[in-house]
Amino acid sequence: MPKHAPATLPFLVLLLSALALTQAPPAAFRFRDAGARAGLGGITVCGRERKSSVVEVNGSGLCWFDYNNDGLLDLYVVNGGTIEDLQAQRNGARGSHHNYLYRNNGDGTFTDVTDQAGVAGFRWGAGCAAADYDNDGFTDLLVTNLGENFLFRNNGNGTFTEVAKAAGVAGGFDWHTGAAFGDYDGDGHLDLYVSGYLDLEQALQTQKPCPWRGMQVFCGPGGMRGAPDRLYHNNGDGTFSDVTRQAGVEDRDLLYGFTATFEDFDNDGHPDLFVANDRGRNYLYHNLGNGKFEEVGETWGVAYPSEGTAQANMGVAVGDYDHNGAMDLFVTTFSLDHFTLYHNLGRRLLLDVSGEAGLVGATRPFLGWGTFFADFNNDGWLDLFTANGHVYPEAEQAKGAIEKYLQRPLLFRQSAPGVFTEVALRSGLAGVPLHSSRGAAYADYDNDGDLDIVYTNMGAPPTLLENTTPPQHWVAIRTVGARGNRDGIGARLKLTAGDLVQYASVRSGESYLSGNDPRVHFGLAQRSRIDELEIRWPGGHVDKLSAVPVDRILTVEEGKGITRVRQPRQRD
Amino acid sequence: MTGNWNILVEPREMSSKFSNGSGCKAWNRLWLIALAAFASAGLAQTAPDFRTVPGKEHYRKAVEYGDQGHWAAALLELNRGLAAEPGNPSILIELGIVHAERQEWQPALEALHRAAAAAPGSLRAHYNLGLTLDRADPGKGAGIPEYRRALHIEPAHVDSLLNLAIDLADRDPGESKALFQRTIQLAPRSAAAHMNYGLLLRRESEEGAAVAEFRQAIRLDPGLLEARRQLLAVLMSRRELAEAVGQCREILQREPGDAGTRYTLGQALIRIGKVEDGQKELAQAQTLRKAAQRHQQALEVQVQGVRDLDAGRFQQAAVAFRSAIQLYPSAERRMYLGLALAGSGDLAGALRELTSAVELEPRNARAHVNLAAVCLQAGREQQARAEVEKALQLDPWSPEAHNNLGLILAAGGHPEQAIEHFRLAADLNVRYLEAIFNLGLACRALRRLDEAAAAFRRAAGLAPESAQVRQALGLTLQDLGDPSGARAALKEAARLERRQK
Repeated sequence: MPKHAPATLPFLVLLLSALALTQAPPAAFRFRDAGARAGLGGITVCGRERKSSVVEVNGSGLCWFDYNNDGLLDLYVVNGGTIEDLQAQRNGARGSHHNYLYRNNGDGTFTDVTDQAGVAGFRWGAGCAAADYDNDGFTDLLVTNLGENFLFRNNGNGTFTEVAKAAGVAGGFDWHTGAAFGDYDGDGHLDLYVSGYLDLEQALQTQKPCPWRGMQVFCGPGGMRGAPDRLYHNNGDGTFSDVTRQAGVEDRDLLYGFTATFEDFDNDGHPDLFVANDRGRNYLYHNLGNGKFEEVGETWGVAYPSEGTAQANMGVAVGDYDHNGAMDLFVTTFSLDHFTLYHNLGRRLLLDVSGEAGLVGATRPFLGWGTFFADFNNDGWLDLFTANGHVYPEAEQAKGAIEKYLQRPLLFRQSAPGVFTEVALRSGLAGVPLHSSRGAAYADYDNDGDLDIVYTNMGAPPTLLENTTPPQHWVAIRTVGARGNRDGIGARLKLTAGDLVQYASVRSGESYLSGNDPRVHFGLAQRSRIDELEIRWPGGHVDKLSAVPVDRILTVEEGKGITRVRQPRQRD
Repeated sequence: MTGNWNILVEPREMSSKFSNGSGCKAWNRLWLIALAAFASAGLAQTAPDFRTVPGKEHYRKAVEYGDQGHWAAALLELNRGLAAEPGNPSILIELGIVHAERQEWQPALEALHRAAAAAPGSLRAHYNLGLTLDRADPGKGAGIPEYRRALHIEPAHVDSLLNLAIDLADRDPGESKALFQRTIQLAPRSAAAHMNYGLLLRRESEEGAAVAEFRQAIRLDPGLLEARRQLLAVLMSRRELAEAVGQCREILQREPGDAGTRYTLGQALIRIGKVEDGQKELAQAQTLRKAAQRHQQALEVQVQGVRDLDAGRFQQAAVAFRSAIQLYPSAERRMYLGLALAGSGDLAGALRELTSAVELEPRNARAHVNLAAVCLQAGREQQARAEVEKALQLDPWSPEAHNNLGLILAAGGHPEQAIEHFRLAADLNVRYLEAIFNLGLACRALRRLDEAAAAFRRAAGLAPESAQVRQALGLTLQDLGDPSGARAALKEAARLERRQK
């Protein structure tokens, strides 16, 4: 009997509760710090160590993507800069810090190929989203900046050309944050949404200190003008048009936008758009299927947590954690509040279930950023990760404060259906150096069949956590679209393996200003047979595949089925 | 004028990411409860000291007016009292409080600082100075030193203890906690103390103790909605849904437009299986939020319109007010549009908008005053008089109404009566240039030249760059037989006029 079989849910919950009194806490995962060996040495800078401006605290994201189509996921790490860099940048000069592209060598190590690839940037970066926007078979990269964005078009030979201005997605001297690709109008070309945080000019001018726990710290964004969010329609010829207003996603209140993601939350075949906002309601834009959206955050229940007051949401995780076929949402927020889990009931209604999920008390002292659902032990049930860190370095000295600047990540195992138990310290993370962390993303970077984690740190290189949890069965699927966009972004996958039915989708842009493994990963526990894999492609075409091998990385092409089967790398 | 009749709750929003100096929002949702602005309840106060009968009498009248909420009248009496007894700390304290009530922070703080300097041992001076510093610049803890001084004078002063505890909550939670405990010990029936203490405890993760404090605050003051909201947040996170629904309904009964609580009610109802009802509440919450958003946008446009109006850009102002009315109509916006139209010479349009404003809000004294002014401009003197009299029925202490009535009386050949109203207007608002100048003109018309010269001198003090005022002063001095004074004033008037040209 699988542990989470929904058919026996009530009995199982009772049984687990009873057992909890006498048995050891639920099994944890196993991770090891692989950063030093991997060679991810570039330090991510975000202003000075002692922060004097709101500009210096949000950190940056990172993206997993296979830039050279060798089947190994490479890593792009977005870097920040200093206020001086930003002033120079405004005057047309380049900054003194750059982003990093690490090529995956396939042996657990990476090589810094930033210069060869031409993606250094030298501009204060915030986030990234990777996707093949021109459908040429090579993954391109959008980097959001404080200032004009970059669009690095992949030349297909290991190099990139920066084309943001020509493509019409550079934006102005604004504070751009989240980016997400999705084909909102179903024309087969990936469109782009970019969130805006603050009016950068105003943020740069504001340097006065504010009191916090008896100390003088930099002032937060309250009272400042926000920067607008933008929706860019892909014209199919390498250029984009700003359709924010026509599409009805105008950020009229100029809320402080962070992470944005496209996902079909009501299963009507059209990708909706969720935007996590700091200090304001979250936006959920329902795609009406005619090129327009309608804001429905309040009526669908995700604008605010159940308390009805706005949170400071930063990161976004999307996943169907309860296997009901409707995508759920999880958002990170400021400390002394709770991270919020919105359960999708599947009828245009999502409910804040953070309390019963065990997430209120456990997240309260933490200030969360990057986050994702991922099945870390391949048991067929999604777990949760959050990267954390306070905004005030002074928090380390704050009188009576329970929050600290340096914070460990949180790793939640879905220990019973809908219940998440925090297991980081028992999962090998106790010895991992503490940082104030920001962007985070998962990927099976070593192609060994389990999901690994990477996250950025303020003033330090990224932390790479290699998953060494005992193996169970799994399958990973890379989608290749034919009628629609080549990446298959927006495709919905349903996998049936005996009594286990799971749903997932392909996205670009989530967590905190970051991008996860573009392949869809399913854990299968002890099941060695997949009965059916159904893929509903953007545009509505459905492929149903049987005889799907397990423990393999599969490439599935729209209308053709499985076109490539890749063996996993043997675990150490 | 004693007791806790002046309760101010200043909300700060929760859960934003940063500390904020601006006072717009702060992350900790501690609420400043400002209490007892005038003499503190429960404390034996030394009777105010007066050297003159008029000083004492004006003070007494001011206190009476203050008790009835007639701030303008109280201000009038206090200014008269202060003229009789300059520097009297009791009068200065009340003056500071009345200015603070009118949110005139600079004169309020000036008066209270003077009071505290004149009477360093005055509990009321230090407490009210602390309170006004906090209100003028919220979130900065500006009142802390003054509350400490007040407590040095009277260690058991509950309001100082409470406000100090609130101010310190974000700076020194330990001391704040001790102060809250002491406050509750001294004033166990203070709902505000229980609620604020609960907020601190909740922030410090002592949820059980916080809930007990919120419940106690609600028991003591069932109308203290913030305590209910705080309790509600805890109930929702604990999934105590039935009680949460009850709290939502209690709040919404008192404040039906609270979108946040309606949203919570929607969520709670859905979770107890009443999905349809819950969805209705969520939709209602969205409608409320959208209305609030439109209202806010209209306010922003209105503020711009007022700026244009003040700067004499009447056509731009009219465009702004029309757009504000389209977003969110209100009597006030129609009134402003009327003024902008009058400024740009469209008297018919102005009369139409102002008439509409008084029809929409017949108890708006300002709208009546402004309609009267435009009627006067349009030569409708009878209607002007009727409107200004309506305004004075609604607000007997409106300086503008008295000034306009003075103008009407003067035009109707009643200069003596006009002088009385100009004088009252000028005393109600000591910086009211038009009323002071009109007073001078009316006195001069009646050959009350000394009074006229005094009024013009006062006007010249307020408007040193006005050639018109200097001219009037010069001519009056000439009539008074002061040729050198007249020459100087007329010379200055000529210089100013040249410069203006």
